[in-house]
Amino acid sequence: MSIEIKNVTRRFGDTLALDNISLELGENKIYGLLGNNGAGKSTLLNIITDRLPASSGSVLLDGANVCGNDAALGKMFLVGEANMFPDDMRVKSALNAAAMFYPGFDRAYAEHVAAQFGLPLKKKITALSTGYGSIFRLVLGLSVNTQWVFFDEPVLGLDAQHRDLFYRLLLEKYASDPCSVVVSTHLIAEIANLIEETVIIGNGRILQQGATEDLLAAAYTVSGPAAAVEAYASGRERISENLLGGLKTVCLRGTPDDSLPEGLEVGKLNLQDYFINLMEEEIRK
Amino acid sequence: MNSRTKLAFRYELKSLALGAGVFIAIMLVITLMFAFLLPPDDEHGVSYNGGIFPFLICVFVFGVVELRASLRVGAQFGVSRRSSFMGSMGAVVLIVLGLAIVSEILSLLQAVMNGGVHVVELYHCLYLGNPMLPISDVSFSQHLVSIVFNTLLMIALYCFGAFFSAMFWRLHGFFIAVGAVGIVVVVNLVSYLLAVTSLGTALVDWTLAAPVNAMVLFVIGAVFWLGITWLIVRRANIRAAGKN
Repeated sequence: MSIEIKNVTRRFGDTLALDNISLELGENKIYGLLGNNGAGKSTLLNIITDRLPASSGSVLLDGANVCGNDAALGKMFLVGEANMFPDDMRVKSALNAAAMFYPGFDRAYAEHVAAQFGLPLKKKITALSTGYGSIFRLVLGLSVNTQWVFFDEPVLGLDAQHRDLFYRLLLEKYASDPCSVVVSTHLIAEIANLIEETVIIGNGRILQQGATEDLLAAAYTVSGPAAAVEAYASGRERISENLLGGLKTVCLRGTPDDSLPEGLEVGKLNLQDYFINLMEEEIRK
Repeated sequence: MNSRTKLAFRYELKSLALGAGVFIAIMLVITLMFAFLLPPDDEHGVSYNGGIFPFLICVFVFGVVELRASLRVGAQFGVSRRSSFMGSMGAVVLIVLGLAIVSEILSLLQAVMNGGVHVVELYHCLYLGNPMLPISDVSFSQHLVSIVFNTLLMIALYCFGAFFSAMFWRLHGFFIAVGAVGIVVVVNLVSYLLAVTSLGTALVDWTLAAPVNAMVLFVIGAVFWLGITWLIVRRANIRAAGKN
């Protein structure tokens, strides 16, 4: 079971939001969809779930085009950034509606999770604060039990405690009922340990994709006196560099030599640092 | 009808039934109030007519409000635009039929409670030869025709309301003002042309010649507005309304 995004382009007037993107998402994995503001993450998720038509290209779920396809759309659920429910709808009514549309919706689990977050079920959705609005949508996403769940900035407005609770619940859910999850977020450091596969988008294009471990293993940093670092980095593929006084740090693609010149230090990258370095490279281009 | 269209239908039926129920309750209260407020003295020639018009306005507003709401909920719950659209229309037809029946009953109730008042409805006024024919003198079959007439009229108005909503959903900036002014211009222009041109007056005469003619016009209107609405929304960006 997979989702294939084939040559998808999306324009908004003169703005090219997505530029001929092709990507395959496999089953039973947690994907991280990372990118700066305006990179095209939300646009991509909205196109996958047919909320937004692509200017060209197609999205296929198990070979069938998703556009206008009830069977395919019924297997997906997008936890978006904003509310799609009527103004007068209460949280409880939304849970009732979710149970109507999704046979696998776990109502008891939804109420249990809502209680853990302290989400009031009788309140109108539009009367919830930004944080609780996000929590309401998270409760739906965690309880819907579809084969594909997409989270677009799921922790918007959440405090640290609630963010931690969400990550724990997501992992527990994934462990007990494996499904395919795609999380789009700016809080890379917090989600790094959850993400098995990473897709990095910049300026509407896929910059990097692959197993998170493999991406991080394919880059490293070298720090030390500027001249020595420059000599070592010469001829190697450079992602970014940083000079502070007489000390220089460069981020290089590939693997470090077994033995380094004296005075130089090798460092591994975490996902956030890798992302930041990649974005700096992109800006320089 | 696929399963998700049926789910969209069930959801819309429930949503519209709630709104329709509140509206009916209000109309019932108004009907009962008029039973006390309208003078029963027949010598004053008091008539109560056009009770259908609040229903027509209500259904037009349903059209304006429900289109976007149903598409948004459908988008959230994995229902395609087509299924949301079809499910909604199926629910609208049922609800509107119910409202037409209630309207007819309320008019009869008004006549029963207020014996000296002439209660006249739109269909009876236009097609039964005597504009002042009291509703209590209308045959059962004519009541049924009135219900069908009002149902089709309300469906056409719902579709017109939906078109309004879809049009303003897709227009941006300056073109919203153009659309707003355009509607006023077009409506007035059409009314003027119907009144002064030979084709217009012929169309009006044809519509008034028989109720089935008007019903055909309502169906054509409904299909026309619905068709345009579908063309507008089939590739629309289904966005959230606002906060949260």
